[in-house]
Amino acid sequence: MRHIGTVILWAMISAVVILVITLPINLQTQLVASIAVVTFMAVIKVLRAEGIWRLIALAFGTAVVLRYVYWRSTSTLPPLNQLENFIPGFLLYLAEMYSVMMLALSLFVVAMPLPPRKSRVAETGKLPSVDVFVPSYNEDIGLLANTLAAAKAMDYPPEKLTVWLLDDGGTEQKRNAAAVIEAQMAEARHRELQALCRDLNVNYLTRARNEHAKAGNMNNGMQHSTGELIAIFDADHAPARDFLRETVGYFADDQKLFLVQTPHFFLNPDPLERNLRTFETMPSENEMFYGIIQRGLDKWNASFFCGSAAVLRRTALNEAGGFSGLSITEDCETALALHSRGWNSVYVDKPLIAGLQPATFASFIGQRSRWAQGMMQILRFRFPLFKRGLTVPQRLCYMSSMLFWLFPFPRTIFLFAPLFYLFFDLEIFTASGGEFLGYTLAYMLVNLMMQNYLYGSFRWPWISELYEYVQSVHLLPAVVSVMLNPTKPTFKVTAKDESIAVARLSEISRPFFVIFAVLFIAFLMSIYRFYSEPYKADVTLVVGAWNLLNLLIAGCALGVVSERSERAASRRVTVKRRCTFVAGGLHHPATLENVSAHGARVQVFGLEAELATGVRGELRFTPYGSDHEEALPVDVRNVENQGSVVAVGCRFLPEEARHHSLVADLIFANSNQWSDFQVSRRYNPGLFRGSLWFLGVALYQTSRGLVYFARSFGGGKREAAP
Amino acid sequence: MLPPARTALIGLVFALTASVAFGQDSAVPFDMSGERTPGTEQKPVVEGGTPVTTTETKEPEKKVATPDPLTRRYIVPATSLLLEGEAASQSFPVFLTPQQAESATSINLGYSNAVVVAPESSRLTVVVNDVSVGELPVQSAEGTKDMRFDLPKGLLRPGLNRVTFNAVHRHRTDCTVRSTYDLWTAVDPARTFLTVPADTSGRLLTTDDIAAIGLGPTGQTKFVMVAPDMGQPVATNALMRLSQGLALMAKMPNQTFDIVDALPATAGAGEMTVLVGTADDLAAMLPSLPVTARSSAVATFVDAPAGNRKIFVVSGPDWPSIEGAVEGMLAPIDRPLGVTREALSVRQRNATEMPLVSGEMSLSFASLGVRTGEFTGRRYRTGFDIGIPSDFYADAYGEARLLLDAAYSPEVLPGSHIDIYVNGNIATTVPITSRNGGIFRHLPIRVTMRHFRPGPNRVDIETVLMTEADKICAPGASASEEPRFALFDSSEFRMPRFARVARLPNLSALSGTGFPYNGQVDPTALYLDRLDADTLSTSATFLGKMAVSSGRALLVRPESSALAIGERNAILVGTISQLPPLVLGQTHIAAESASSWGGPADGGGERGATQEAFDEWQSRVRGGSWRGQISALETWLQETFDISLSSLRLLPGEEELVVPDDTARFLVAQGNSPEESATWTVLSAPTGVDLKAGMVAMAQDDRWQQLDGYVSLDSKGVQALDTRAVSRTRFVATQPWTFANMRLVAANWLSSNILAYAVLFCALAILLGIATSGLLRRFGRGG
Repeated sequence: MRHIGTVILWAMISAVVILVITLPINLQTQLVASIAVVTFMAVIKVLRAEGIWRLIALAFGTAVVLRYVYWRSTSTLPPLNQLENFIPGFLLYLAEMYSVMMLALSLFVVAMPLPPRKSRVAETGKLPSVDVFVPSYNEDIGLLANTLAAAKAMDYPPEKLTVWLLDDGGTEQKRNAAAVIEAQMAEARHRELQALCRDLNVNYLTRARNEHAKAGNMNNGMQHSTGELIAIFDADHAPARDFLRETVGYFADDQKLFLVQTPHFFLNPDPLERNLRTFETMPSENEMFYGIIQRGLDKWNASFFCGSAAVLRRTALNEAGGFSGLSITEDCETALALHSRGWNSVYVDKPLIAGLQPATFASFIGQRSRWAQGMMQILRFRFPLFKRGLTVPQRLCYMSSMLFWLFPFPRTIFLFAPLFYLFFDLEIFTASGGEFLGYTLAYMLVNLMMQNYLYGSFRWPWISELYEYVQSVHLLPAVVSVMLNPTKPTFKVTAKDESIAVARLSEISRPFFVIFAVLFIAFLMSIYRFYSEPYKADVTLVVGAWNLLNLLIAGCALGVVSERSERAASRRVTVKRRCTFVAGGLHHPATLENVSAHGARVQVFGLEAELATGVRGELRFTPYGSDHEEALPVDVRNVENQGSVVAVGCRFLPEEARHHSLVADLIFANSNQWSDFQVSRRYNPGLFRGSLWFLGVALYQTSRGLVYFARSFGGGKREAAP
Repeated sequence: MLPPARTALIGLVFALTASVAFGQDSAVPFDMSGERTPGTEQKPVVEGGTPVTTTETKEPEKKVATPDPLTRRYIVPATSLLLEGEAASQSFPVFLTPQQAESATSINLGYSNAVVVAPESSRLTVVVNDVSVGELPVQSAEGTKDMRFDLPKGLLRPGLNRVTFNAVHRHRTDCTVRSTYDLWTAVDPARTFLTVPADTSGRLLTTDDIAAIGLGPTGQTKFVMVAPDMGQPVATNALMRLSQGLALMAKMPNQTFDIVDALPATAGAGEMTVLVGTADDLAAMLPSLPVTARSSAVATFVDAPAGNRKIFVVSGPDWPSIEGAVEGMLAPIDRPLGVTREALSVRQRNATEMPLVSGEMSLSFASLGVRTGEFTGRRYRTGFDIGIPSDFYADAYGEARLLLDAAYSPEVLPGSHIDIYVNGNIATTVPITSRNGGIFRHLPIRVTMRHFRPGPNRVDIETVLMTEADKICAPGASASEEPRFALFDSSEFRMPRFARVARLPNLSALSGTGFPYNGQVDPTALYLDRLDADTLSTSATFLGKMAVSSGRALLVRPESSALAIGERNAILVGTISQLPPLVLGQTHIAAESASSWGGPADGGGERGATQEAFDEWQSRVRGGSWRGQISALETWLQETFDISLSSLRLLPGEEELVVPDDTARFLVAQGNSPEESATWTVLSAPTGVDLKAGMVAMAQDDRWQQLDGYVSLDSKGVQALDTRAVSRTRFVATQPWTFANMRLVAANWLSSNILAYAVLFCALAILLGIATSGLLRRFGRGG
């Protein structure tokens, strides 16, 4: 090994650290050391020291966490001969140790994430040929049209770019289905898509049978195509113009490169963001993954394929026999197989596609169930820790990604552990108030500080807990079922283009209210016991506070499952782009303010005549990569006079394939706008302010959830009355 | 309901009044001063004298016909004995010669009790060698009552016998826990004894019978050593070795030595006269001196010239031969170097040997002498003794474990609790929280080791039970026979392996196990400022105590000059004015005390008053100054987390020089030799009389156990020793170097130097961060 000296030095220092951590010192010493560490970390954080200080802060945190683990393991487990305490106590201990292990793995992954790569623009000279696959199952044609048009508009030599629509909704099996309506719909879809593809100059491909779901569909695509590289976009993921320019170049640098993955950027909020109204202000859930974790994985050459927005090398895929379809998360499985064969991957930290994510809570849970079950399947069938061919860091990285999905277990245990004490008087964690202060509180504080230090501007305090909680309720049975029956789950396409017409409770919201009620009773119980049993008020206080925290999160989750109605069927994207608004034959200079898949808002200058709604007009603008203006037909929906300019809302009326390309050009062509949007909401409110903010959100969302709940009964009666 | 902490506190108050043997620890979690409940007032006061008894005292004396002190074997080695609470038991060893065992016929008991004790439901039992010989209702509230119980033939054995007093008390009217503190029976040591008729068998006494020296009516044991030649330096060694030998044979708790030059006319109970000298010197004094003494060494009992008693003679033609005789006596009882003890031979506490816990060890309550017991009352206290080695170094971090097997009935209410005390300091409270009764099966209870000290230690388990019935307190309810609590002897005390390294100076190790003198191969230098009766008596008493603590007789080499000691362990005895400044300096005694201590009250007193006034003003103006802020912070830290600012210091400060104040009459101080490789222990007082009297007071077992720190000062009329804690410690390895031990030593050192740990922790974390950063830069993809 090249750096044997560094390794030995590090190992020696670690040994000394472990030695000092495992000294059985007394509580006072622990308390003072904890205060010192917390102060030190706070100073580092306040000074925003980076570089080496980042690792020093993490080392501080690690040391405190390890002390907690040492103390927790040696002094707090209930005695073995009290089984009623020991069993739940040990489960809680396991849950905590799982959390610590996940912390260790994630520290390993993200201790020093790779800084975003500099833009690597591919040289025009010897570009490889690229096949673009857009696998589809049941997506709306308009959606597909935008995606295909955007893919076709990518900045790449046309002779080297082939776009394929891989339609699994129009297979022979579907078209000849026994149910006549479905067969007719499949037939119609087959025809319409073929026409669309013809217009857009895109290859349409379908197959005989829907075998092996998405993986099988793409393998079928591979058999009919010949390009050196394969770019994959989900049906709702439209690429920006520079997608290939930014990604293809890496394949020339490294002949063993099989994957360039880019982030998924979503135009619409997920149910939590929508119902909590945080989409515009708070970083999205997946930004932690794409902004930090994938970069961390990339450091260890373990960034993996996420199913879309990626470019793969055909020779590599051929070597592994195409996309793997054993699990329902074929993407990660394929990456694992190729990594273990010595192929490399690269992650480009720049959003180059824009897509949609599930809008309703139910489909959100459906998507997450698929991921969790798929990861469990990979864990079961291809256990990465012992998979040959992987480097040690790669094994740890994959384990980190898979084991993460076990979170429903500890989350459930943390949720119910206080109830053992509050309802059944079991003591499953033996510690005094002072010890709790010196160890547990220090551990929790340091843990929060570390999370904030690592992910601060990508994930605000308590949001991870909220996401984990809302998923756990339904993911726990899903994960248990896949553990019992690992081959059972099948690939289900997640619906992403649903919209919520009326505000309502999610159809799977019932358990959240039940849990909230139980926790609320426990909360009342803790108050009662605090006063009625003064001799153990300290324990009641600690357990009660823990339960209160659970109650706050559970209350906040009530807001998450109370779906707000959303007016616009698709999100508007802010753009600033010059254009010409043509109405009644008059050309007016105008600026595009925002666009969606269906329409745009334009600020028109010098519009004198009163404009009636429904008037037909044109938007004329120069698409990227073109040198002349083109016209997109619209009709006027509303007009607003703003003094010197008039704001006009108009709806697109695409008549031919070229019009779809123009819409795609307006929305998707410029990738910088995604980055700008992400940066605008990426800031770290800090632990203290973040927690206060969360408290406010939780209280408000609890009340909103309860109002929706009450209304659901009222509504039910009214419907029943007549 | 009383909050648990408060109840525990009250328990502590009473524990303290009952016995003053508890370690003086400045950092006791609760401040107990000034806490007195009304109940205390009625109790006999224990200060030095016999318990205050009422008028009846004289009456029984008349009934007993002309008592000959020699016919009494007193039992209680103390000036008073209180059996307190609802259930109390005390056992005492009595060593009898075969003749005494044969002829003793009865046991006398003098007792009085609190007025509130209900006679119909309170019993006092006398048990001899596990056979109950007498049981009576407790009904002597008006004054001391004498009882006499006949002993069955053959019950007493030659050698050790065990006499136990059990008391069960119930309150007349009150059912509260608080009321149990008002319950007591006082056993009068002077009127509690075995009657042994004078020896008429004519059997020759042997050295084995020295152990039967017994006690005086106030619990004292005294060897009067008659050494006409004591002024001769050559005699010193033999006298010191002999006193240690006698001490080891008798092993009585409060034994002292009185070296005189003339034969006393009489000897009381608990006294033995020993004649030491060359045959020539003794011949005049003792006509019955064996003739062989002129030619060879003798050590034997002979008849006293006057009075019907025996005296012990150690003699020979010259001093070397006398030394030979002394060594001959010592050989069978001494413990060779390198042999470790399994138990501390201090019998005084519970008539059981005290297991020496020198490492990882599990001891069942049965083996510790705690029996399974059921209990019907409110407050139940029981406990055991264990011995701790002198190099015990786990007071800061250590935790022992009690695995409790116990049960409580459904009527016990939550809020009841079990408290564990170590040497009278509360160590843990286990609340009882279940309403429907319960059984603890090896319930682990963590017991902090901070109150453990080298030598004998007492662990008490006190159960405080509350019930609905007690709240109502119907008439007669306090005497209910329904058991509420049971403690099983299958419970265990579990000592983990603890850090072992000796610290010096350390007077508690000295009193506990005679460290650092107990294990040394070379003789200890012994400097006596003059060879007179006071100095020699002091030295002999001290070495006698040391021998019992060490379990072996120490080799000493008398030195005539303190400056000649050099780098050797030494014991220095003398009046303060005679000790060289070097010695005072090494043991941190202020040089000016050589002239000022014991002198007329002058500047010293005034300075004290000034300091007092200054302190008072400082506390009055505390709010303003920043110094006041700091001391307020310190108080808060101390109260909340038991952290003091001195424990936050990074480097230990220098020892403060001790200026004994005028109330002090005697001190024991310990310091390093000039090169810091050996230990000097100084016994000093302003005058020779104070020296001897101070040592006699210090030899009382309860006070001997209080020795601690680097200086302990004894004051007349004050029960507690004034001890000064060590801040600069010298570590001396006593165990072979092992990683496991060093780890624990480090744990204890860091736990007592809190800030050092924080600094070390942070420094290592920074190093780890830097190293990790180096590692991550070299591995994986670079930035």
